[in-house]
Amino acid sequence: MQNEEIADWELSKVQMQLRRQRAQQRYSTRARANAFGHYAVYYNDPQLINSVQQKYTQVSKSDLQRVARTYLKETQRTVVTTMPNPAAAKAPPDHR
Amino acid sequence: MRRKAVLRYSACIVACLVLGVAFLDPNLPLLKAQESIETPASKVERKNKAPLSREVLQVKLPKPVETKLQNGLTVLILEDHRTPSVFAQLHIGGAGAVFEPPSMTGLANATAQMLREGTKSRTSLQIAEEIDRLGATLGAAGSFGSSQVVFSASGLSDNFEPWFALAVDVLLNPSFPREELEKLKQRQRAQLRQQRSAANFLVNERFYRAVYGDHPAATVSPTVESLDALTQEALMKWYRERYAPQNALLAIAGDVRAQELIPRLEKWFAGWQRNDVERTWPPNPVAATSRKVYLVHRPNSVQTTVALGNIAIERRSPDYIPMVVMNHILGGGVSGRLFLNLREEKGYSYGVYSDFSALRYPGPWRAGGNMRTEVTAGALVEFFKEIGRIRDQTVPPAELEDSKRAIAARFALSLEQPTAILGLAVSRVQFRLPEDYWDTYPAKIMAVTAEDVQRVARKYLDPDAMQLVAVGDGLKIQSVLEPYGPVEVYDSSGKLTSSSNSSKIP
Repeated sequence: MQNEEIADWELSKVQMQLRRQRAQQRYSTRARANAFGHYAVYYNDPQLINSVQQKYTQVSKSDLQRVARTYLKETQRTVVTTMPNPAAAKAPPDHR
Repeated sequence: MRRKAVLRYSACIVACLVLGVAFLDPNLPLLKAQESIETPASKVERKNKAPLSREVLQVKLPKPVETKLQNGLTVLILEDHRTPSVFAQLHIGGAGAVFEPPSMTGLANATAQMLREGTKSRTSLQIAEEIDRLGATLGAAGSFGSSQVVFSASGLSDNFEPWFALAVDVLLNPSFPREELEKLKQRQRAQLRQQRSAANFLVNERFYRAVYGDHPAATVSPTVESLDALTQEALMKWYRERYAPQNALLAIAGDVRAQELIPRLEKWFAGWQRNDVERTWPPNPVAATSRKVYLVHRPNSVQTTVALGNIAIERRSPDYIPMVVMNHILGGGVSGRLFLNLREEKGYSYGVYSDFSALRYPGPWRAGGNMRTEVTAGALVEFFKEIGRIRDQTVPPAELEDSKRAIAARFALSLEQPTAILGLAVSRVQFRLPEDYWDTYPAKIMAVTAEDVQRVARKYLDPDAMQLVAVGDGLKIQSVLEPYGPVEVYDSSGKLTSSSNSSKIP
């Protein structure tokens, strides 16, 4: 992602999938209210519900490369390794 | 006092939201946002009461267009042009797991899942790439206990033709490639080992065996041997004999025009020929008549997973509607008696519910949940106490009314998705329910009386005939279970290790 430009079909595939997901998620009143709330709280612009699709189609291949280079850095990485304890073979904890 | 607490709580929500925004993006214009969401100047009057309507919900659901193609395929189309999406579901009756030969459990599901792993003109990878590129979804599966498999596809309406044509190719021209089948079996073999570490799997395995007995719905998983028996030839034979259009129902919802679509469907499905498959239903399961207890010993478990119940009704039973209400009162949610008692009052569990399954054949009513090991005894007492209470005492009018209103209100909220409305129409057709069944559903719920509730509780919730399954640390809970009846003890591999009251876990 950082060093090679992605193929056109990969970008159009993702845009198509996001468009379908968004279309399928807009049926329920609650889902629309959540979207309004999200755009109002985080962006101070509930109207984004009508223009967000447009914004996604404007994303370019170089945008993807830029954000990959900016954010997918080793210095921002957290690695978690879980080690099972073979000796104790404890039952899983109560998920309460 | 109470009002103050509410106010404090909402103040905290506002504060948290503001902090959240600040934390996520320090550059956002916070002040401006605050100004724009200022509380209106008008006085807010707090009544501390939920708004209440005494009216019965009236609905008139949109009716899908219903037709039959020349090959016998039933088609339901529900137009909904609110968003540019289309959903398609093909229910293939007679191809489900209840018709499988006992030596080949998993055959129905494997055949369904293998459809998208290759056609005469496309490889598995090509299918996956095309689906991705079109932004569509495609999949098929059959669950154990089901008489049908369900094939689903969805996508955008502006490229409906290509993704639907691909779905038709997958359905009508599957090649069941051997190497893909091997991969599927490999994944399922791993699953066989993995699922035995989950208490939920173990409780289902034992519970369904206990209530269904010899009925095929007792099966919840393939076995090592049955997976070995799944060959390309076996899948092809199952597909050839069982995937018959006259037993299938195609349901389409979304941004399509029914009148334009139907001739296209005739063309797409022209190659799908009807056959003379006969569906021989297994004899219906019958309710157990005496109480039995099953312990699945899972050493060092910190909680006991409990399931108890018995075979109750089929979908067309006149008792279905009263059962919905009775079950909701007893254990249908967070206002159910089981939840209020075992969780809210006693603190035995995080969640306790009951449920029932009603299909073409009778299915079980079932209650259960996860209890802390040391309170297993107390929890069992409360389960049977609540079952006794709903059988012996008529439900108070306010509780009955609240429960019925909750069911009707939830029904109203469930109607927003076109697929949900279409799903109701599908069940109406499949279970041969009356035309106005769902339009009159809220009225039918509201007509249930306290006597109805008590009658179905007495009829189907017989504590002396319940099958009781507990998965947990047998060393701690076997003695707790013994007062409830003869205990069969199993290990987590599914093997019976002892079956009399006196024998202890080794």
